[in-house]
Amino acid sequence: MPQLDFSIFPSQFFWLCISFFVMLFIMGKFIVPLTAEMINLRKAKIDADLAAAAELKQKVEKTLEKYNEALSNASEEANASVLKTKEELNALMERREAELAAEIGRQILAAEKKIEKARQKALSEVDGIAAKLAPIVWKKLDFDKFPSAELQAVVKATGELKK
Amino acid sequence: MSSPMEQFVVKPIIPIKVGGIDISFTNSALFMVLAVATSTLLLAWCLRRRSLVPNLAQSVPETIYEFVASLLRENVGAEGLKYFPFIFSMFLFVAFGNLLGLLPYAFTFTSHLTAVGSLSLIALAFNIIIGIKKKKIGWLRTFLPKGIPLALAPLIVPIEMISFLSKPFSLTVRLVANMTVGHIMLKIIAGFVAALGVLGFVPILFNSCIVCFEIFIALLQAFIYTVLSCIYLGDALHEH
Repeated sequence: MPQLDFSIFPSQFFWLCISFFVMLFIMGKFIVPLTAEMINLRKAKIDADLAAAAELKQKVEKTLEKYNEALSNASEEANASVLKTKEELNALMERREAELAAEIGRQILAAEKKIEKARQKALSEVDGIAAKLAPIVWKKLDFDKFPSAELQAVVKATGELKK
Repeated sequence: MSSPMEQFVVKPIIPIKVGGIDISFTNSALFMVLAVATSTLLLAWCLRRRSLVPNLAQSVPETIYEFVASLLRENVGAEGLKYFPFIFSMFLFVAFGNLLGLLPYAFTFTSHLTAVGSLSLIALAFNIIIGIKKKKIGWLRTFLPKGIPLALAPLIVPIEMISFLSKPFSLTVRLVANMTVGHIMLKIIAGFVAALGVLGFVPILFNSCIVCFEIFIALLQAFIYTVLSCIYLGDALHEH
């Protein structure tokens, strides 16, 4: 079998080494880098695109979070403001009510004073009126002599009794 | 009728002698050079226009690239990608050697023990070099795995050495035997074509089928040669 002829080994070995190492050189220097370049570029592009997508997603999530936060803040603020206004209104109403009550009280007091005064006045005038009226009534009843001094004493006693 | 062995005879084309050693440029050497030329030119042609979205031609080298890369990743690991050009070249060299040999009048250098043996020797030398580079003196552990009692060393070391050296040998014989048998079969059946006269179309049809099968075998054997080289490379790099 020519396959087992070892006399050709030096020639075979020599030319195989040359061709294989030439091939290794061409493959290693040109073919493999050229092929790998595109594969790696593609991979890098895909990875970059995926990373960009992930980043965008994160951004969107962050924005959404911010939006929700803003929304809840705003509603909180609104609630607080509503509450504050309510309190203010309540306070105002209470103040007005108190003022009103005070005014009414004052007026009542003034009116009572006036009434009291009028009553005092009326009472003080009652004596005079009674004294004036008594002789007239006496005369009308046709009693003879008007005991003005006695009557006056009676009126006075009555007035004192009333007090 | 010529002998079916005649196709395997190595004939010098340009006789060269250096210091008494015959290194003539033979038909075998011619086909080695052709294998290199066709594989590199074909791939270069495929890569002439490259784009991010691969076109049909570009996908050929890329498919081979991914194939060899996954082979290395599985058998050697990520660090094996450093030796990518070596395995890539080896696969293409053997594959094109096998395929070119199937052409009529072609010479199949992968059917020669001396040729494939030389390639396996290169692979062996490569394994030893990167093994020593990686593990330094610890590379000698290849012949005496950890956990083996020293008393067993006289027995284990020769066995391990034989196993280490038989790897390239088995690689070589597997490829050579496959290529040789395929070609002998093609030649013998082709011999029947003339002998059978009118009925000669039967062996022609049969041979056509065998050629298709041989193309498959050519690629399969190149693949097996490469896978085993990867496994041996993995052995050289890792503890076992």
